[in-house]
Amino acid sequence: MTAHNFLPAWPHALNVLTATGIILVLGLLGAHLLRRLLPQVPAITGYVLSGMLIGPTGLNLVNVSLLDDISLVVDLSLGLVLFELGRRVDYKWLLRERGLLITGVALSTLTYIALLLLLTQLGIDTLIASMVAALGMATSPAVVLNVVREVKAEGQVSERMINIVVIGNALAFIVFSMGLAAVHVEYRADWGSYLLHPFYLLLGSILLGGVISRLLLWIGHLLGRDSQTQLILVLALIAATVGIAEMFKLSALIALLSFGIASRIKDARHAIVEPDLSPYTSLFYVALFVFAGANLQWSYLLMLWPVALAFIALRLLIAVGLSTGLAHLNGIPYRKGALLGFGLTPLSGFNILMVQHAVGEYPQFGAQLSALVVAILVILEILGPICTRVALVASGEAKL
Amino acid sequence: MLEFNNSIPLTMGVELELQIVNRRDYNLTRGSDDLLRVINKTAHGYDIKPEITESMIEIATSVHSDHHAMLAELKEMRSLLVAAADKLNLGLAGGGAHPFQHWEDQRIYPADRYKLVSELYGYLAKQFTVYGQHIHIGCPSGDEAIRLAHLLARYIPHFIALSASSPYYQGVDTSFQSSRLTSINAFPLSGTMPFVPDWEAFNAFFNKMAQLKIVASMKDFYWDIRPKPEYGTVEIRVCDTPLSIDTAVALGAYAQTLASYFFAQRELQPLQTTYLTYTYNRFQACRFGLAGTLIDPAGGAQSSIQQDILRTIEMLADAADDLGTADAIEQLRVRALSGQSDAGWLRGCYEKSGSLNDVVRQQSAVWMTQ
Repeated sequence: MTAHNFLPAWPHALNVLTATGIILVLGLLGAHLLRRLLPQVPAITGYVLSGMLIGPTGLNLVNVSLLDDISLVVDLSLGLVLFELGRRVDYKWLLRERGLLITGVALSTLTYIALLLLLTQLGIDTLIASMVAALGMATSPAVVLNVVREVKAEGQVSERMINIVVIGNALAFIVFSMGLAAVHVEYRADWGSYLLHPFYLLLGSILLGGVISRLLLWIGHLLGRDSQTQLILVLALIAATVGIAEMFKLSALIALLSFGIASRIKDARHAIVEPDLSPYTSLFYVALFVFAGANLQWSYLLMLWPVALAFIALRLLIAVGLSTGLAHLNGIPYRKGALLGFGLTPLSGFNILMVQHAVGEYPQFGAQLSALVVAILVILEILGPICTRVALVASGEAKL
Repeated sequence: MLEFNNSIPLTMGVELELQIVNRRDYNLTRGSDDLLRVINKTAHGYDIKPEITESMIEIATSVHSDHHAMLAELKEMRSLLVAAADKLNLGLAGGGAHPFQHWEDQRIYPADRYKLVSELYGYLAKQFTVYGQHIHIGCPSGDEAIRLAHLLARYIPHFIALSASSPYYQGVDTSFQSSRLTSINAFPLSGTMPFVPDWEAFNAFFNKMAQLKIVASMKDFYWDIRPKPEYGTVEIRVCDTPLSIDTAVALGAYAQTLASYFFAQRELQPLQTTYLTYTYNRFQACRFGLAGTLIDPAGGAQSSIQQDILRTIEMLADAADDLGTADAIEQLRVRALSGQSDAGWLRGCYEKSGSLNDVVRQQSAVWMTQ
């Protein structure tokens, strides 16, 4: 009679839940440690550094395939951030307050053109240059929202920053999708994909967001104004939207953003009480940024540092210069205008995902593109949150 | 010796403290600095200034003898404020207290005086994020100011009940019509002026308090009614900021009419008993509003505050006609008769919507448009 072997085989890799747990704990420890050394540095930077330490290029505690496995958690986190961002956009304000709309559009346009010229001058292929320049318009919503919350910032610099972030991300997405069409052409895909793909992505995602927002209002009205019930409903619909976007190969980013915006526009009966997602988002932010850190690879930076630095310097110069110049249009003094531009430094880390999702079909092209984006992100993931925090504190809008 | 700058009798001015809220969840937000910056870009000549925390802004009218002119001025100030608030995506609202703000979230306005107050009073300073209306009535002399302040004391419950608009505080229904005055009770120098007969006696009291180093100026007294020697006025400080500027102006006209009646009826003398009934009547007004009980210090008769207001309005009929305030007094009579108050309106909003955020949205819409 052989003994029944109840002991498991020694696992050769962590499973998803264990990895998520470890990521969260190490993220918290990293942030705590950094805070003790440098109290002025935002927690996000600590998360990113922890991620770098445990990621594939660091100790490899969390390897590439594991990172793939936990991308579900990350997608959900991104969904929360984008929804929150959408809720914070007041389209009526943007229409009324032209100064802000002009600032947002001018800033994005100028950033795109300048970066495109710079990158082509540096000998980068026009198409890749165009797509990287497009991503340069997108300030990280997750960083800005998180730092605004961390320092409890309230005021014109914070509010305008958030709205400009939305405009930048939307334009970045549109231009990036157009670039995608051009990629299809270059690689001689059939005519259907280069014409229809960007349209499908953009319109399909907006439609998805719109439909879900209707659903939120309808069910929300039915359930009444109990904030706990509504919060669960919101979280459920965010999860579903992320899932549906994935199933239909749409952009979860745009879908969630339009979900957030539309749920506020269409809410004529004011059925939805502003959901306070902060207890949940703070959990997901840790996961998101440790993940982002783990994904960063220094090797690209070693190769591409001159381009990355030029890109960052020019982008910063335009943001600070233009928002200082347009300060009066925004009803704020020059100094606060400059700080507003400085606070826009963080680059959206979703960019990597966008690149990976979008050009997965063309690995050779995708590799060039993501190398450049990662090289830039390595620097900005660490320095960006610090810039935003400095801007909010110096503007007097933070409550410390 | 405090110099009383005699002013033209029955001139008046009104100060209103307003709530600054965001338009997302309608919580209080730090906005007075941004708002003042936009407003002060053009020379407007109005008196608009910050208050102790950054989610408050105070507006003051110029000196008026006609309440219609005062209403017109307030409407112009409101247009200016609303345009600036629209640009910055802020909301402005009346109401004596914000229904669901948390006092510890409030930020002291960065000015030396407010920093000192905050250091001295600790958490009371942040709890002082409540919004009141102050009414000034011009007096020909210091002696008249003392007499008027004492005579008005009996009518303080009227002003409380007619303006009450702070039923919710820190997210709960306080069951009060005006919860705001309770936050003021906590200050050591709140309460009422001592029963002094004239300006000389008042000065003796003030000098003694100054010698004891308890006060440095009149500003240190947080009394319900106080003489304001710099302006030459008596200042009534018990009103919650009403939800609309109409009501604020009508309350100003009511004070003006009462004062004109007292100035004319020379035989009326202040009664010390007024201060025996004072805190009882004041509490009744805060807690129950128009339905509260008022004990008449003169004869000890009890009636509802509503009844007492209606009787007083009858008593003032001639004075109101002479002064030209009859329309404003009629507005208050209708209000008292209906038993409705701003506090009741706010509770009605909450009953319908179930959300305090939505209540503030509606009260902000009222102040910005009506």
